[in-house]
Amino acid sequence: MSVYNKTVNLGWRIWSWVDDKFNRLYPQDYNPMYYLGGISNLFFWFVIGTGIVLFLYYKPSLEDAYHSVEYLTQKVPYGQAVRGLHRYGADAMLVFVVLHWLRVWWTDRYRKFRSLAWISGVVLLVLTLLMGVSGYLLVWDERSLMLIRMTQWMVGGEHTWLGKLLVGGDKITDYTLTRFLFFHIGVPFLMLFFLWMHYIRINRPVVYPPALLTLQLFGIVFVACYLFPTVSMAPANPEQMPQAMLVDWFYQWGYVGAAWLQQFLGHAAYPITCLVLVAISVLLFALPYLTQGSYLNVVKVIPEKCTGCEYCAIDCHANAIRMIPTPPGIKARGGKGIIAEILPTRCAECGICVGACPFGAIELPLFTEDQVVARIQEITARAKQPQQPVAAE
Amino acid sequence: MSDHQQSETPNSRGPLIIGFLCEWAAQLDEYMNEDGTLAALPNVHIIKIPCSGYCKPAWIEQAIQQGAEGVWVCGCPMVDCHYREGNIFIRDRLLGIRNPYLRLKGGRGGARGVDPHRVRGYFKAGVSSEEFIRELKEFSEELAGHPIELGPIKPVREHPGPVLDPTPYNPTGPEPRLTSS
Repeated sequence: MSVYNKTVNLGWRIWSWVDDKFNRLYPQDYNPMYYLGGISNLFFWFVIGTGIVLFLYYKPSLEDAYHSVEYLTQKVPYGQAVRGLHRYGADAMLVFVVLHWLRVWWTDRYRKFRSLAWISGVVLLVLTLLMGVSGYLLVWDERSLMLIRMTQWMVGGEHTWLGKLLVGGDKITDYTLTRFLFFHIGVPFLMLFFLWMHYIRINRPVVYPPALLTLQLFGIVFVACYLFPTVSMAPANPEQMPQAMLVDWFYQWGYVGAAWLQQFLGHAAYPITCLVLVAISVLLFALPYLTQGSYLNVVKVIPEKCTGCEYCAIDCHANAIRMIPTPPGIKARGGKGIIAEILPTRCAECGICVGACPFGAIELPLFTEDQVVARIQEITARAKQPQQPVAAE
Repeated sequence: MSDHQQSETPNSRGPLIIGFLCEWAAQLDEYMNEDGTLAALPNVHIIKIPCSGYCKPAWIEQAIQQGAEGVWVCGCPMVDCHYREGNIFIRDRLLGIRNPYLRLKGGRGGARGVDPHRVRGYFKAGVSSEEFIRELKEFSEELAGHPIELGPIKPVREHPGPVLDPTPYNPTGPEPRLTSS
């Protein structure tokens, strides 16, 4: 029935295997692998919460930025902890975003009626990466300086239009940090819009994991922040380019990759890395359309039988059913005067609405209720016949 | 309709069981004969459906009225339904707490309802096929061993938990009921 062949699909087998292992550790409805999107959203709000505290102490100027972060870390009660939670929370968010992305992709939950969620999800993934990287620029230590320079090389060089746009002029000034701060805080607001788009086609989206799982995940982040306290490197000096930096592998793998490629490609490694990343993003955008498939089995309403009880519209997970006033010419059953209407491009062809309809007023065209009933009759009739004697060998 | 008489008809294969299998849940293709029965259990006939939420309780009632001795529905694990909530819906319908519900004997089905020990819901991930077949074997043996009607059953009103699994029939034990495990 489906185009997607599960038994030969490696990704599907991997996730089934992982699920099975986690189902032995957790009850089914607490399995963290079933809440990857909800956990990502949880850490998004966790990072926003801790980020507000950091914002209260942050001063976006070249002279004060580094010292304000150090003041927060050293002097403010629990400042070190909040800074650590902000960083490790962001790392955890990226981990779960990536797992969520791979899961919906490999288990075939990304195309057809889910393509809007996939498109907005790719935007969210890119924005998550940008938001994470921009956070490292604000600390204003040697790592920030290196990252800014490398980003400038990626977009073409320090004195190109994009390079100047990034730092706000030929030189790094106070305004550079102001625009990075705006970027770091503005992106989450943009993400809210795309999150809305991400959820809009889902009836009853699950946006948070269960409370016990939440506590467990927060516990892991707290332990990480206690075991590996976050530290700044030496303050940045724009006149002197540092040669090495501490790497956060979650967000800075692109930079590490570009620096590694530099030994083969020279300075061109940076724009090439950037182009490769952009190309991958574009490919991801196109993915649901490359493997679209066709809507052959969209459910059909039989208006004469529909009573307007709304069970199908309530149960439909893809918001593909809406109730409309009974069109003229159809004699309405029931007193509500409404019947169900299908929005074909949102239909998942799953038949959940068929199971919800007590009146048989909605059907999958390729697998009708009559066919199922006939199959049941065939099976029971065959079983009632006397058994065929087994041929003697 | 009498379950009692039908179970006494000689059937060398074992009790006739009809299963509704979600095509995203446990993958049984490798374990199935061409006519839709399980290779290990030729008395189990499988009807593949796109989602466990597609299964209508009326079909289960019809199958039992026409002589099937057991019916099961298999969906994906709770929360992991490929279509989000289909397995939750069918679980609640089997328990009689969601419309359209399965009319259980002693529950909302009154005296003419379906014997709850003949109906099971399984929620199995893709790779747990062999484990699933083992459990089906147990179900089959249980039906073969205790093909008799049971007393009144109370529907579970509270959140029933992930697995719909009736307690094994024990004539001397407490009143049978639907449990969660």
